Amino acid sequence: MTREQTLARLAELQRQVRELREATEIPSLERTMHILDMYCHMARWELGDITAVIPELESEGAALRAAAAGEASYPMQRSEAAPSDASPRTDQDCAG
Amino acid sequence: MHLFKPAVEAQPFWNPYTQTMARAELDALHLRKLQRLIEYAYHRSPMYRALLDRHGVRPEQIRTMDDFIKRVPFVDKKDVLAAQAAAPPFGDALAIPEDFFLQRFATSGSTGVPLHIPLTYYSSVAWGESWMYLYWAIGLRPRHSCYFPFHWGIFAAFWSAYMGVRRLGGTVISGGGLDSKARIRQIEQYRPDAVFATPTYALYLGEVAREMGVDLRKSSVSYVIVAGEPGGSVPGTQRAIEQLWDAKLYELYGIAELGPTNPGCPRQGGVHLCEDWYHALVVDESGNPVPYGEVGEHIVTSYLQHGQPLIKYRTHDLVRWSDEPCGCGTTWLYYPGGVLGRTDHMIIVKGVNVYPTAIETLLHRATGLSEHYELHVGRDATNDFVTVKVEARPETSRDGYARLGAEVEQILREAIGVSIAVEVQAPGTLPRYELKAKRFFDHRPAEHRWQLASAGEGRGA
Repeated sequence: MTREQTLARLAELQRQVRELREATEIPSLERTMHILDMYCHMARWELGDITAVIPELESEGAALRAAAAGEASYPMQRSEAAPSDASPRTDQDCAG
Repeated sequence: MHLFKPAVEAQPFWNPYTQTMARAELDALHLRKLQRLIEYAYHRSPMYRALLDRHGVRPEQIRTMDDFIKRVPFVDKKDVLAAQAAAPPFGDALAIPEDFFLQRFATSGSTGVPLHIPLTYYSSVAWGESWMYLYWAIGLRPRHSCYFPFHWGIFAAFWSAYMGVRRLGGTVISGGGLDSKARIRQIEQYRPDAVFATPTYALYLGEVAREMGVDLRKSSVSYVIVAGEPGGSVPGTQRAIEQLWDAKLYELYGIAELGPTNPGCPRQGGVHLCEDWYHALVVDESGNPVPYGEVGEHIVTSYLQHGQPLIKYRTHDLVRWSDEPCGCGTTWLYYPGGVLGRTDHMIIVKGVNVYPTAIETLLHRATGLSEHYELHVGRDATNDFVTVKVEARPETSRDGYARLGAEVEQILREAIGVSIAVEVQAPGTLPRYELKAKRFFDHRPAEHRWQLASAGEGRGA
């Protein structure tokens, strides 16, 4: 699988995880989706797809939560879902 | 059945994508990370907002690596302490709501007030990840077990190494709450593959084992992994520990408030910058980056300290950085010899730079000495001067101390080119330490120690 294919799958996975996190009313499931979101971010980061520093505080969901709680936040200026302009290496490039 | 697929388990690198990336690509990737981090810190950390505003820097102005180097100010520990003092424990240095705290650490405060370190869940995973590059490269896999003979206290110490073993899926065996003898017995009982300790404590466990009649060379331990102080890349210390345990020695260099910044090279002899999670510069006293191959102060930016961002943080550690291949295959920056000393431990004797780790290396050339030593540095009218206190081995006759001292003085003089006084003391005289050993005693006036230009804030716009 190429890097681009991997990143596209990760971005889609992260989008679905966030959707489920927002939709669920079960605490254990919300926490599990929260952690999955973090691992999606970590996987993208390590493939050079740099979207945010910490997803919990920089995603659109986080901005909505902060607003609901009356807290300050700063809006994301780039899309969280789409891979960023990282270099075009493939998995094959880095096979050891 | 193994946790990883066979083809994956055979991979030499934990993250081959970045660990083999060309330098220019790595630098471009760093710039994107730095831009996001500065934006994050500016909006979430009052300390950074005030610092950048004071220097007239807005996140969107950092468009190139040169902008980052020239415009973003250095930050020192005392700046973070001052920000924390505004509203203890974290004050204006904090960038996260309390819900996101996972664990709190603190430094010992041995030089004044303790520095508080907040860790998020994500930061804890990334701390562990930073160890993974070392574990994977040296062949540690989920089936291996790791023994941690430390107290699991408020100091960061080996917590991050433990987080790394969790990330690996290896087995953690805790030696907390025990004395050294009980730990030796646990090593015999639980048969771990790896032991984690400071170099000083790895050697001390050997002394205790010897007193107990236990030969550590016959233990199950194949890896001794050290951190917390220089020594892992000092050939003499490395050899002494490897012979004592009949195991391979590897190290990781980290800093409590930053995390595990530099996993050791699997070929030993130095450490790499963990470039997935850290950016580094090495600068001279005027704050300018030194060319690759030269020594300067290590300035680190952490991408994973979400709770308390640290950008261009002064470590006060002296390192030599290199972009030349070290032979292990990674393109990540290499620091041969690991940490060479502290900037405030920089000694200049008659115009010659003398690094504490160089003295440590040379002490191993003399037979009849234990691994324990102290460096005492003073200042006369024109020069630094050094006295080394060393300790004889039990089998060395007291009558031979003067001859041994003269032999060590000659070794130092021939290698370094200047005279260094040596005092040989009886076995067990010098103190032992479980975590970091205190080896350097500076008796010089403050004005004769390393001073970075605009110390504390560095160069502004």
